[in-house]
Formats: sequence, C-alpha cells, structure tokens
Amino acid sequence: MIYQYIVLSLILFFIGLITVIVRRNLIVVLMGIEFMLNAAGIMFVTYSRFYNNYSGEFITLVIMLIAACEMAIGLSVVVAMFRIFGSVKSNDIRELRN
Amino acid sequence: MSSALLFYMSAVLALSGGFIMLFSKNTVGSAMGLLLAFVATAGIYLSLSSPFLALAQIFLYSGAVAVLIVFAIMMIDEQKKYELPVHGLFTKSLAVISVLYTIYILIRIVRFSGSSRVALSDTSELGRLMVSDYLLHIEALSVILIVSIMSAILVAKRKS
Repeated sequence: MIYQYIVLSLILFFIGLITVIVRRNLIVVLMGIEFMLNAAGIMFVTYSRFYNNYSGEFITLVIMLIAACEMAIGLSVVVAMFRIFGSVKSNDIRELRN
Repeated sequence: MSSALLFYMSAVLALSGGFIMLFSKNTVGSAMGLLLAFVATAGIYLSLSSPFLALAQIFLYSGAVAVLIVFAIMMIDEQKKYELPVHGLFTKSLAVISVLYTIYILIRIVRFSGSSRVALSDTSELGRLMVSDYLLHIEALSVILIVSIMSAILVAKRKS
C-alpha cells in the first residue's frame, strides 16, 4: 500500500513541475510551486505514518507554514510586477533584452 | 468508507485537480483546481490516519493559500471577466462531487475513529516534539513568518 502513496506523490510532483515549466502566467507558476510542496508533504506523511515516526509530520507542518510565507511574498512580487509592467505573463517581461 | 476507498477517491480527485490547474486557460479555473487538490490531500492525510494534519491542511492551504491566490487574481484584474468555467457535463458533475467530498472530509475529521492499516497518529506526541526536540525550528519559523509578512507589505505597497 505504501507504493501507491509514493506513486501518487510522484505523479502530483511532476504535474506541479510541468505546470511551472509550461505555463506563462506567473500566478499559475506560483500555484505549481505550491502543488509541488503539497506532493512533498504527502511523501513525508506517508513515511512518517508507515514507520511510526513523528518527525515527518512535523516537517509537513513546517512545509505548510513555509508555503504560506512563500505565497505571500510571491504574490506581492507579482502584484508589484503587474503595476510596473501591466502584465503577469513571464514572456512580456523583457526589460533587460535591449 | 474504508481507508483504501478513501485513498483512491482522494487520489482521483487530486489528480483531476492537478490536471485542471495545468490545462485551464482561465486563472480562476486553475485556482479552483488547486483548491480541489488541496482538499483531496486532506483526504489522503485522513486515509493515513492523521486527522490533525488533515485539519491543518484545510485551514492553511484551502483557507489561507487558496483564498490569497484568488484575492491576488482579483487585484491584478487582467482578463476583466471571472466567470467560472463550469460548462460541460463533466465539469458540472466534478463540481458537485467536489462539494459533497469536502463535506464528507469535514465530517470525517470531526468524527475520526482511526484507520485499519497504520497506527493512529498521536497529536499529543507531535505537540510534545514541538516544544522539546524541535523548539529551535519553531522559533525560527516564527521569525520567518514575521519577516515574510513585513516584506510582503513592503513590496506590495503603492509608491506614492
């Protein structure tokens, strides 16, 4: 049964990774990062429960708090970027090119 | 519902939420897919018999992060229309299933009675770890929270 949890966690992680790579909207890219952190949390809790060690659950709580902090800072950067460039697409931001 | 059935249902909903997030052209649709995946992750934690983490998942991810994302989408106001893309029969049935599933998860968290496969997670043991072995981590996390809130306010403030 532990293999099914691990395979699910890996699939979710790669969905998040593909979202970060493929999508151009910066908010959706941040969502992909959250999704990857979530998948890592599933993996930690799986090993923590199947081996009855509480450190994995504690690390999952830490991951949740770090994800909230990262989301606050990332979204504030995206909002500031929208005020400057007028867009949140990552291929519209090319100030350094010329 | 047995925990294997709960796991499979949560896995299907998490995967469909992830694919909705990946393929939706509408940003609000992506956020709703992400929210579905977060709630389904709480179901996965329940099937691993750790109800405290399932509750923290719903509070922190579904309550804080998803709401924050929707607020940012509304503030950025790029596409000028925010209708939810609930058109086809598949999307409508998925929406109804998600709402029923969320209610089921909340009831299951409140009336949790343990799972058959793994031992029930002892929340008091987790709390004891927080004030003994991982005390330094908790203090560092509080500093990180303060600094991140202050920096988010500073970055997003309108220059006048």
